[in-house]
Amino acid sequence: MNRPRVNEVGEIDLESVNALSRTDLGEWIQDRLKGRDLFVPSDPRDGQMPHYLLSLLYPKLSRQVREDFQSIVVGFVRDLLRHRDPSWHEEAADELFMLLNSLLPSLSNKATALDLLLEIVEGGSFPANARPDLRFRALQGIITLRHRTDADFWLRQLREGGERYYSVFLEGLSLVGISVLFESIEKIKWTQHLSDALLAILPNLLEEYGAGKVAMAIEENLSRLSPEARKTMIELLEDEELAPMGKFVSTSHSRVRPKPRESSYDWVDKTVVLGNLAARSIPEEVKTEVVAEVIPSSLPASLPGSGAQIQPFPLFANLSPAEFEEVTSAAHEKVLPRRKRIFIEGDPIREVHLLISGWVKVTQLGPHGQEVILRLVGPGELIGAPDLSVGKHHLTTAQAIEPSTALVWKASVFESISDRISSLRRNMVRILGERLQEMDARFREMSTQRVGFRLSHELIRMMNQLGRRTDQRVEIRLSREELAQLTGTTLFTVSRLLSQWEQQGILKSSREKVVVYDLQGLKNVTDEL
Amino acid sequence: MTTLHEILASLSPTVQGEVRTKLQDLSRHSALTFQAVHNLNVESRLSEECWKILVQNLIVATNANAQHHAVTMALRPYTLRGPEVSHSQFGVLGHAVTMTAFVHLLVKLRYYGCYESAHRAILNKLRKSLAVTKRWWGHFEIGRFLLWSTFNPDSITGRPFDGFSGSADEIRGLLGLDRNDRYDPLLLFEYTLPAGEGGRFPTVAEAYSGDSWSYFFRPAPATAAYGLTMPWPEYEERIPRPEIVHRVLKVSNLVEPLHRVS
Repeated sequence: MNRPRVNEVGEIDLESVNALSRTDLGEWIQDRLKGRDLFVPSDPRDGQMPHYLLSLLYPKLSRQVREDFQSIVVGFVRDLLRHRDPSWHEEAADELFMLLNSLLPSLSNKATALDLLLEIVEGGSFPANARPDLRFRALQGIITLRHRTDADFWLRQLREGGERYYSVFLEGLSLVGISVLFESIEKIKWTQHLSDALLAILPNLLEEYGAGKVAMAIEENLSRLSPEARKTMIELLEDEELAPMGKFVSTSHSRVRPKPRESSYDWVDKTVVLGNLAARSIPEEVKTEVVAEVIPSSLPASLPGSGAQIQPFPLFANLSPAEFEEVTSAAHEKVLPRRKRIFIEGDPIREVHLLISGWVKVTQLGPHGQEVILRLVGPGELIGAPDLSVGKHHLTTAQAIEPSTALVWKASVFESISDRISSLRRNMVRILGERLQEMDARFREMSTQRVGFRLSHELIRMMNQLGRRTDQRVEIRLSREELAQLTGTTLFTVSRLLSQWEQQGILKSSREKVVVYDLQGLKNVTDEL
Repeated sequence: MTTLHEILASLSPTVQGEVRTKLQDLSRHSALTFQAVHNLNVESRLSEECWKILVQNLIVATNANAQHHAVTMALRPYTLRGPEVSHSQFGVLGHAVTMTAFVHLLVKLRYYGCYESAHRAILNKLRKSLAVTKRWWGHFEIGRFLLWSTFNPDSITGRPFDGFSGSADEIRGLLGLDRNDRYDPLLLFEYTLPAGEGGRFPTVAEAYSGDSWSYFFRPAPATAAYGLTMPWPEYEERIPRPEIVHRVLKVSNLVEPLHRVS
């Protein structure tokens, strides 16, 4: 009988495996699985399974040997099922099924394998109480093949199969549907095993269905679940949201989002002033205190586009009066109604926009179509990155979230002016640098801070930028979905946290706005998180 | 603690001769068995009882496979029986395992239903903070029977993988892991032993009690304060790393987030 060759440092010679006859290959695989093979090393230090090297070796083999390999393994399973070979003792059978399961994705005859697996689970060969591990491995195989049996099948396994296999049963149920999974969870007793199993498979659920669908399925079932289950599920989502910004923000919420309400915007003037202050380099703590607390609510009306109003904008810093005149005279003013899209991701860059009043959100779409707000642009700021190279395209989408006005230059004109006026170009470079710093800070926050901190911090930041002060309160006109997009979290979590703070009397929230009553309370919440 | 040689010396010449012949036969089988027999001969950190069982098993073993089985079965009950390594020698411990092996372990231990799910879950945890990983996976065991760990020999507060350039194959080579796993990324775990838990010298019992034997193992010299790895030939000029064995720990014992090197 031939065996694979192994060199003096334990490496298997692939050629010698490819040269094995079908019989020798079968004998060798069988010996490996039954722990009878002396010749092929692996590292027992980590308790690696004997089949582990076989499955690692398999993809490297020649096509013919791989086909032999597959049919040999399926043949062993068939023998086991028909009780033809008693030497497949418990551990060896376990190894055989582990090997089969690792081969399943590349198996040429999946239907045969599935039939065998279903026969093991549902046929009479192995009663439910005999060889439970074998049934369990067969169920693993069914999941690997992504076979969507009905919910009852998995619910039956969940009820009868034992707690130690919960994660597998839950995975099977999740193949049927995310709602089915949570409805089924509700039907069995909540235990630590169930909680652990759910924790284990949640990343896969998020990957498979997206956080939006998962959050909604949880939300729909939340009120019916026990307090322990509810607590676990909330923690699950919060933990998952520590992932980089926007990764798990889903578009699925847009389906339940109500039609935006039109409202009167009598505070545009003040946002101009707030925006100007925000755009200057005022320390954050000063802005928080001064802007939110000191700016009077009855500011004089300003004239959008007038020289006096726009001259302090950072873009025009250090420009001589003549240069300022040259730059502004080449632009025209444009009124942007609420929801107006200024440019869309992928559009060629034709114009440069400087926002005079109002607010614009700059967004990007994720790979699955989810929208993430990268930043909010206020008065005095350029909208989007002004990369004027010929043939360049916008990498983001900009949309007015309030009625706004902007100064607009043709891109080619703006480029030639900025070539002539070095101060203008320097200002643009500085603005881009500040934006990068801001993005770095936000990215750090997304990566390291819990979602509660991010949301409260964002609200304080928004109060400086977007906040409308009336009496003793500050109104932030951002929808919950927009807050979720800004903080890289889900609508579900934003709603939950806002409700929590609402109960503490810190703020009041509705779909399209948040009214902060207690700035200090919000700061305290931030400090505590 | 004694050696196989001392036990054989106390037996009749006939038995001595028979056992020595069996060991010689075994050592001629391959480079692996040659190294294993050499290690059995120099091992000094196992009990008299263990060697006696080994001798009994070997006498009745008639061929190489049976001799292999005899050694494995004799040593299996004596894992984690080597002398304790003083706690003052190490702080944070490190354990390296290939991505594929860990995926298989998670499925084997029934934490996941299929390899794809386990793989995705690991990738997910690589992006997570330590606190989150512990909360989700705190009850997961990171090995099956026992764990081999390395540590920083220069500083008790140092990290276990300090001093490596960062490539998976360098770590694999210096720790003497399986060469067939080359090019498979390594997952690195860093943890401390729980109170009351000790690390022990690795012996031939840990190296040869599995279904497959380890190529790169040698018992630590008698004067060593802890076990020492046997690096791959291409790293033989480098100083061997410390190694100890201890019982399997859980993810809740980690002190650093899960880390992957390629």
